[in-house]
Amino acid sequence: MTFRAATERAMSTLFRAIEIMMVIFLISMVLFVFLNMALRYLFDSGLVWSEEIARLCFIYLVYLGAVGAFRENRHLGMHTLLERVPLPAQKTLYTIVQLIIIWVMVLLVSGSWDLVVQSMGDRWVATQYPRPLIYAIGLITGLAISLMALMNILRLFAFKLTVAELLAIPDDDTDLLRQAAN
Amino acid sequence: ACGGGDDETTTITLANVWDIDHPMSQAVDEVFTAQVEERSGGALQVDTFHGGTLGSEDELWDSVRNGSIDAAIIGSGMNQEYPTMLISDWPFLYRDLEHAQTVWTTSDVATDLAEDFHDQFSSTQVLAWGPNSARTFSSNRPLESVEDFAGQRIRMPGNPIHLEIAELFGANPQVIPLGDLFTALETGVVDGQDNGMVTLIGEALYEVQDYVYETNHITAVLPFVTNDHFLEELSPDHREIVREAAADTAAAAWQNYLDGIEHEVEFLEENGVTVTQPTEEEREQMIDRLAPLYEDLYDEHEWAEDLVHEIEAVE
Amino acid sequence: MPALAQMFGYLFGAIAIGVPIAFALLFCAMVTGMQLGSAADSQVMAAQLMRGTDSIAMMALPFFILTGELMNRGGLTHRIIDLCKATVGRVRGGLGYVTIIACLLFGSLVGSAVASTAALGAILIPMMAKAGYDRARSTALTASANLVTPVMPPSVPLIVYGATAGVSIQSLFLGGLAPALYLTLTMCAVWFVISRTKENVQEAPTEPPTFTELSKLALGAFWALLLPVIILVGLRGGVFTATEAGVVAVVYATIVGGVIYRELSIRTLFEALRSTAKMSAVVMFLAAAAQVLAYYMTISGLPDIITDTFSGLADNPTLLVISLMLFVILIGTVLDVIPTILIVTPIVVPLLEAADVDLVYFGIIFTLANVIGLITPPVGPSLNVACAVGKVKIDHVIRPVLPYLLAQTSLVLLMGLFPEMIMVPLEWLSP
Ligand code: NA
Ligand code: NA
Repeated sequence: MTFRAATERAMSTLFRAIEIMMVIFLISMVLFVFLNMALRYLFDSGLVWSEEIARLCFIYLVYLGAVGAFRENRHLGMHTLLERVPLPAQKTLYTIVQLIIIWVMVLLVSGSWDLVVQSMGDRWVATQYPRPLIYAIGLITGLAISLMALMNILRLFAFKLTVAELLAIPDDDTDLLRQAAN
Repeated sequence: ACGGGDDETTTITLANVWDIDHPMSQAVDEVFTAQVEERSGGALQVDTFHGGTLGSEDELWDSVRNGSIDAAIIGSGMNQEYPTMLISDWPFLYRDLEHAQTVWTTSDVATDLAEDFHDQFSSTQVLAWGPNSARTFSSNRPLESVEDFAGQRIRMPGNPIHLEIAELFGANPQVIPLGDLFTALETGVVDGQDNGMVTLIGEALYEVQDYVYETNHITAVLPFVTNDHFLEELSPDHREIVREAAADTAAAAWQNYLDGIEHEVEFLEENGVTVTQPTEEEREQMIDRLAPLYEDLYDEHEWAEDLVHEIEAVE
Repeated sequence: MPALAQMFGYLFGAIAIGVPIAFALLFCAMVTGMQLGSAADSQVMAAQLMRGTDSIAMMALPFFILTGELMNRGGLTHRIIDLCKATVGRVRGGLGYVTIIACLLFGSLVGSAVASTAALGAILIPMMAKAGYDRARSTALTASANLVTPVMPPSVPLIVYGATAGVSIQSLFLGGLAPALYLTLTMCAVWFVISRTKENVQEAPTEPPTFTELSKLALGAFWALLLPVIILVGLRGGVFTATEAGVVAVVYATIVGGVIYRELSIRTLFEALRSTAKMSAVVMFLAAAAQVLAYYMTISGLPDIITDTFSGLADNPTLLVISLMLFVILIGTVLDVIPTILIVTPIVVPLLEAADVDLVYFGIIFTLANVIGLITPPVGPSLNVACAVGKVKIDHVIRPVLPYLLAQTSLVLLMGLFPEMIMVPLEWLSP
């Protein structure tokens, strides 16, 4: 196995794990909101921490999801211009796009880090969940996306992938699309 | 503090989460802004952002700490890190609202805590303590005595102290996000809720509530927090202007709030809400019911009993 | 104004060269922040992005997307579609009208468009595509039809406006009924024209069903059709809140798909969860990024721009209202509904009072203008959700959404010219 194939395989495993975590967060959100409602009718009481856990799961779901979506080119965007200009211009524009992304994600990392430090002693009210761990997810997301954007540039110039290949959306859960096409 | 164009003017960015009708927002506009701009001869300008347009209490607290805004009026953002501020959530801490006003505008408690606050969070300073509208209960089912709480579904904020209060009163506390509250009250998911009368009117909850039991069970304070660096950068004259204006703002807000309660009750009654003031006896009854909560709080925080006594001792 | 124009320039420039919208919003916000020379920009971004994500109000989004996914994979959707085909299948574009009416019904239950777009889009877009409708056209229709949700009471935007302007929310709710009807009729009219074209709607003509066939289909779809009934009764009857309704729908769809229809396996259940998690993350990350830009628009003097632009119009109420509406539609391209209401309302209320404009009337037309922003790119929450659940690229729905956009804008301007359109029905309805 080549180095490239090995890394890609490791990355696939990593992102599979991220997907599973996202699914766990989503299930937890459903369970805790449902539990809170069920308790209201069964025991005439509510859970003080159910809302916070649901919020927590939602935050992690979104930030992790943003990373996964970046890898699969699922973030909403417009490629009309990019797809229509000549190939060299495509390469230039694509590189500028990745650089812009890297810039804002590096800022996200630095801002999140400052917030982690600043909120070190702080906790949420009901669950006593540490607030720095909330901001830490911004750190992870910013770092992961900026690295992937850097990789994109590398894939464009070193691995000679085309912009069209780099913009492709992987064809996994397309049951519905296929169903629709039939 | 953004320098605006020439070096002569400094703009003070001040934010809170309350609508323009909140006594604190009104005092900011009518006292703080006016006084600061006038006394500095226009060298200091105030840019205010009410209604949470710059963020909720937690974000405003973060922002004033790191200096992305200069000042904020915020209730609860710092409570977990600085548990003394939790007294904001403690029930029946004052004899009446005038007592609360004295404690937070003229007593040593206010100045001592402001100093303690700065020791805890050195990047900020508390210039004054303003009022938040005292929390009272409202419901769609008759709520005119302590017994009436029994079995009512009352929405409470997701905070253990608040939940325990409703529970000890005999109600079934429910955690429902504020955004869902209006429709939850309208359709009957819950019978009632507790909030300040300002919120009851401001968020139009009275339109879907029939009874108000004016318990004033929690009177929270709203610290007027500034960024320390911003304050230190001002000239001594300007710093003094800002400090005095903040103190006057809080004092005006307390007075306006207390003077306005009568009109709020009138307004609610005109809109078909039955407003009941608990008798002294009922108040004692509620305080008795909350004894276990106070025991827990005293066990948990060793400074608590002294502070409560200090507050009680304020005339 | 120049500052605002510059901001739009950065944003649209970045989007045009292919920066994903969420990142373009952050880029524009950061450039603006640096020009302002304000302190701690990276912290502001990190904090505001978190604020945009930490939103209980948006939690209904994943729940309703999941419901749609479960219905599609659990066999609920195709049973409903078979029944619809048999009944409205002979009306050209019949499923489109079903969508429009479903939005009106759903809008009478929930208060924000994003949840309803998620719920209905995830079910109806695949349905229409399967029935031979152009996918992008179906997505545009679903996104636009959902504009009725925040106008038809209950309505979160009307509650926020009422609370901010100090206007009775019950009056606003009553006032929203007639415009909700106008919106629905406008949608039907536009869809009527669009569905005439062969490439937009390529429906297989169906024979009128026999009674036996029809009752068989209805019986098959019974459990699926019970879902909206449960939600309707549960919300109206005060059994659960709007957010909880999403969870009830998820649990119900899982049971029906898994136990009754037996089409939902553990594998497809996992697929539904995975796909929902991804879609929710994409839409939410974009909404959170929009929050960061909203912060900078606020702090860089948007309130002053509004005061400066409109304070001179107090002697001409009609012109004031109409120009305000156009302005709101313009900033609605990048600002979400609630931030716009929070920023604009306190500034314009004194102007409106000076110009003697009724605040209930204004609240309704203002909300209508605001919700148009739900389908204008780049920050069009309803459009974005519809694209995510409809699996269509945003470039491809811009043209299909235009007719609705123009029609709804004309409707708002018409109401600006003729306040009677809102006030007369409101007087009839008022107790
Ligand atoms: Na609605
Ligand atoms: Na928009």
